[in-house]
Amino acid sequence: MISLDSVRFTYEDAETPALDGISFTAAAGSFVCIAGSESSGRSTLFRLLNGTAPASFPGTVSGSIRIGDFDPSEQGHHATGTLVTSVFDDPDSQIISLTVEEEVSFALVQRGYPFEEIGERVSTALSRVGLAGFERRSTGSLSGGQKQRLIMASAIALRPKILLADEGTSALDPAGARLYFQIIEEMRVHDGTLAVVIDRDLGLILEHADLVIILDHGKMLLSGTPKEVCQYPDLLASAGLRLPAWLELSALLKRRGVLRGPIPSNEAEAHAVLSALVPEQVSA
Amino acid sequence: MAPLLKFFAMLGFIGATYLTGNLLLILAIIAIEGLLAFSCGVFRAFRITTAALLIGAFTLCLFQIFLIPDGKIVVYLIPFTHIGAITDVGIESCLLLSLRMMASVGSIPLMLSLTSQTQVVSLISGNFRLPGAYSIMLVTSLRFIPTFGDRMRMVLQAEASRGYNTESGNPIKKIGMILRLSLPLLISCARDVDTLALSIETRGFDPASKIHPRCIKPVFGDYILLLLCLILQASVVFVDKFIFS
Amino acid sequence: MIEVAGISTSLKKNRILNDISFKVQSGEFIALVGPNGAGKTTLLKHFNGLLKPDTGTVTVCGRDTRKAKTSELARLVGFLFQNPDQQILCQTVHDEIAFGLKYCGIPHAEWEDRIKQSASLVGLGEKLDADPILLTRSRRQRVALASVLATEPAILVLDEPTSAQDESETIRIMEVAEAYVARGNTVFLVSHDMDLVARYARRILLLVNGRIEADCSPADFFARRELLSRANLVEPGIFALATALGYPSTSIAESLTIDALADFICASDKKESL
Repeated sequence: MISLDSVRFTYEDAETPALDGISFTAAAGSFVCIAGSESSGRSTLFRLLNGTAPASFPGTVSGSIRIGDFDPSEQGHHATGTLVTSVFDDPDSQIISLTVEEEVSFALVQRGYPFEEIGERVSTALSRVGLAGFERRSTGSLSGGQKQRLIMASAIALRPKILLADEGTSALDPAGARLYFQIIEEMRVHDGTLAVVIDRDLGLILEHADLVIILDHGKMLLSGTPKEVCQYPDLLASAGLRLPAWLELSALLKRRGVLRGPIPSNEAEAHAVLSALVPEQVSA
Repeated sequence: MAPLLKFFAMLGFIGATYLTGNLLLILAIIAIEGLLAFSCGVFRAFRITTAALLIGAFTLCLFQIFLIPDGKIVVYLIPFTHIGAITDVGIESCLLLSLRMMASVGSIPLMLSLTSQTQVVSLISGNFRLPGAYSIMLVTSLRFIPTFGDRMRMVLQAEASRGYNTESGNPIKKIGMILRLSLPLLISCARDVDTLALSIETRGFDPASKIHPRCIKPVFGDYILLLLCLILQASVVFVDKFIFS
Repeated sequence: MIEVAGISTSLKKNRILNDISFKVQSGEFIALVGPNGAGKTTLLKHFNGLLKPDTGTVTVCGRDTRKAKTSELARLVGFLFQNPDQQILCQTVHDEIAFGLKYCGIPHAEWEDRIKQSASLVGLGEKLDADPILLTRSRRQRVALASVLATEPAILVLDEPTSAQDESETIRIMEVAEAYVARGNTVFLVSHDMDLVARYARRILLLVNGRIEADCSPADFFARRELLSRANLVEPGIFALATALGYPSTSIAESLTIDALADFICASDKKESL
């Protein structure tokens, strides 16, 4: 459903491309996670996928970007918005309404949904993020975590085919970050949404993603399933990401020759695999 | 109540204010508005806007009052001199001006506070068929202007924490400080607004669009309410024309 | 250095802090942790007088904060706020750092050295002429940090200093904080990142519903599961890993590292391999 082929993007006044040689495909209902350091081009990829670049961020695009038959770089973000729902990183600069109810219904009103249907969608969306009963609350009185959930509720209400989320967890505490990924997972299951999530938390990414793309200085450093990507922990670290403790230990044991099999790709698997390596008399 | 009818009710208040010249009746209109605010649970906001309008009106009068020469001179600004004559007609005109301003201008924020955002969009873009940009401008200012106070407070705290004395009593210094510290405030708002614009455009807002959101249709009860409002406003004018004159 | 004695504070009629007492010496690296809404930022604001307690006293370097102005306490307490944009005023990074030096009364002769040093500490040595507004969020956060570091306050309060930072910059900032403590100063860190807290902090204060529920070393803190779950905190990955591997809990100390765990696994001759 999303397919990129040799995509290259250079901002108008820049000398070097912000993205170069980006290619991947993702089917409906899959969970794609993109990670990389600040200068990796992850924001540029976000902008290309939702059509804000080059429309609002001028530059030259080459290669092919397709969402279905649709090219967001040509159509612009307003038209792309009918297919792709975007969640930006800072909740405060996305909330336009005074009350929770109005915020969630904003996009539905703009798109001309019947008012009767809007009410039902709003309450369903709010319950799915744990904000049921918050309809009349003022948006200004919400905490940071609640605001982020409000943004997610606004996205859920649209039942989008594609959700694009940029660094949504940076201001959240660990529990909030887990909830954020869980909400996206539910959208996948419930509504068949294709999720493209840009984040830095490698632990959560490896737990949820079907496809992991690691960017480094505008190029694709790694791309594959969590299992595939975990076999290259040094590359992950070189991309500026923090390896979860279980991955770091697995990598070290692999280097020392103690771990002979593949490096595990999530925490539970790692605990099982690594405990099996512990000599019996030591762990007794 | 459907937003279009609320709009007419608001016009009714403004009209009634200008159709009567009686100070007591205009005070009555303000009282009616207050009662409406109270019964709808927005009295606190009403009180704040009324107080702000009172201060604004008073400031206007300070200049206006010396420009009205008609009537009997009541007092001079500077006693025992002939500077700054204040006449009885002057006092009455200024009171009328102030109360009219409070009643008429005050009805606008009152109606806005009783109107949800969706209704505002429905009114401006649906009923009035104005470009979506107008309704968004109104909606965004309602959402962001109340946050300026909080944001300014945070800026003051941040700068005080760096040693900048934000508690200086000197008014000139204070003004200079506010101006200087408005910069971080404005910049953070400008940044937010940039992202906000992209966000709402990806959510379907198109300032150039000719497609209008559906209007909220008034129901029978709305018309009854509007009628009651208009009767109340008309009776004020009636009392003025036929009883007081 | 800081003495908090029985303070209680309410904001907008809500009791945020409840009878809090603790003492802080110089050379301490303290992490203040707790769930959102526990009152962490509220507590921090008492150190430089932005908030005054309703009851009790806060004494900083011998000065009662109720009687001192925030701008005076700024020389003693450097505060890095969560949002750098509420602070940035000047048109160049150089001037932004100089602003803090000016208002804390640092002699002009020392400015240039201090500015260059603090900028390079945070990795912005080449960006002194840049306009802070145009920098990325992570750099803006570091500009704000450089500005606070330049005045060398005895107490450094860092409220989520690494939230916008990539891993390499996060490590850099924490190393700067560690070096700061090594010079005899005190650092107060608020962070959600338990991995960082476990690795760098030497003392943890847990704030839940406005009360101090724990005041101990990281090793003791993370061993107490019921505390963590009550505060809705997750233990650092390395501790969870150590537990899963059966690493002796008596050996879990501040020095728990990945290498130590690897050595533990490689400990005996009898190695199981898959």
